[in-house]
Amino acid sequence: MAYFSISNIQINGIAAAVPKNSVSNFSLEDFEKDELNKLIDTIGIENRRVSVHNQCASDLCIEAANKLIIDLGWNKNEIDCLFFVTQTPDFHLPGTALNIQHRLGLSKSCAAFDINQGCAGYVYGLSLIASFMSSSGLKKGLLLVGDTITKLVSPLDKSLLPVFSDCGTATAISFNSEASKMYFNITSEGESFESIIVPDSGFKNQVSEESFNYCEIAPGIQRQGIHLAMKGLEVLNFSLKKVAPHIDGLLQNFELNKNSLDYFVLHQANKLILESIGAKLNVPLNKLPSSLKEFGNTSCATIPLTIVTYAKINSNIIDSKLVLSGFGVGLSLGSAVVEFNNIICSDLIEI
Amino acid sequence: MPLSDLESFIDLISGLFKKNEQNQIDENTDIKQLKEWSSLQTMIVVNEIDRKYNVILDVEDFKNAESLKQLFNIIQSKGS
Repeated sequence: MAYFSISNIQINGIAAAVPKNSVSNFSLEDFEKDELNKLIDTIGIENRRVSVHNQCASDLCIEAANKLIIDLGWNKNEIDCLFFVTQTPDFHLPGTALNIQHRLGLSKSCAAFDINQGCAGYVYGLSLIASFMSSSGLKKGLLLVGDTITKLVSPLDKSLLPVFSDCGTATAISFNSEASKMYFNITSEGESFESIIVPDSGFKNQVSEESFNYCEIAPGIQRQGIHLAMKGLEVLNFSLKKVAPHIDGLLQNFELNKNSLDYFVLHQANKLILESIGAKLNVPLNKLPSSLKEFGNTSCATIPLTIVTYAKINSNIIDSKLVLSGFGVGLSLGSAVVEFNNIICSDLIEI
Repeated sequence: MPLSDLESFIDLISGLFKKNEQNQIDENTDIKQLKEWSSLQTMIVVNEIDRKYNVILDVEDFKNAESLKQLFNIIQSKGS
């Protein structure tokens, strides 16, 4: 198991940006009224934010980063590195992080990295930027995490269309020799790589004319090869079996007391999965923040978006000890324990 | 929670379906053939069985069970 801790790194603030375009699940067509009500009640998602045609994860993350930099009073020239986590980059080639360095107006001496990760991406990205800065001694960095995953969802897919939503986030990280340690557990289940996949999205299955043929997977579910495909039952099994032991393993490995933790901010897959994992962890709902109702499943952005939106409801979260846990595409799992020391949570941006 | 009897199990599962489908459900029912069966309904059934019996059913379990009685037997074998 990849258990590790990182010293000397603190989180200074988090910001999030979502598209203005809000779509209500109550307006979904092709559902009977009872069926739609049951769906919304089970997944806990009433509204979703859907990016317009060429609005990308990079655009949302840049807005979030600019707001956060202003709110923190940081000087852009002092930012030494940025890590961009996404599965919806601007281009396959070149990587998006480099262009973000330019668009954000960061120094050319800023190191910029792309990370291809989804639901576990926030914890993966946090572990990478924190370890990079801790070992290098670099003073300030930005972790940008976001997806416009709705662009990958088939409009004829009743199982996924009501779930996914778009968001970009920015997290400010700095070197501080007095910071509390961060604790991580990162694990991989690559044998299940086909559980969540866009089949014709790379060079293994290159896009062809057939990629645009709709196939009926089940009643109400039609997808093209370029669309996001998910084996729902496999992903549910993975979530119910693996996530709670993954978090408990982290706490046991570092002898951390579960009762000393204020919040468990988990990937917002859907309400049923979130609350089932919470019950397995024996965590009460008031320690299990959710952003599902208004923002749905925003892929890698769910954890920071949930923190930003919850901070407006209960400001205690900005000065608290938290478990963060992401799980999904890969399949992958990332759990962390971090301590916030009066961090800045910027007002949500809608663009 | 220990696995209770077949009747209670059928009550549990039928309670997850619409009222007009509940009357059709007995130990011989293949729930996959019901009109309401869907990815959403699969998720609800799997979660409820996990919650009550601490058994997580997978794709193969559903393929192998052609009736609720068979599903009940699979849960018993996985839970023991």
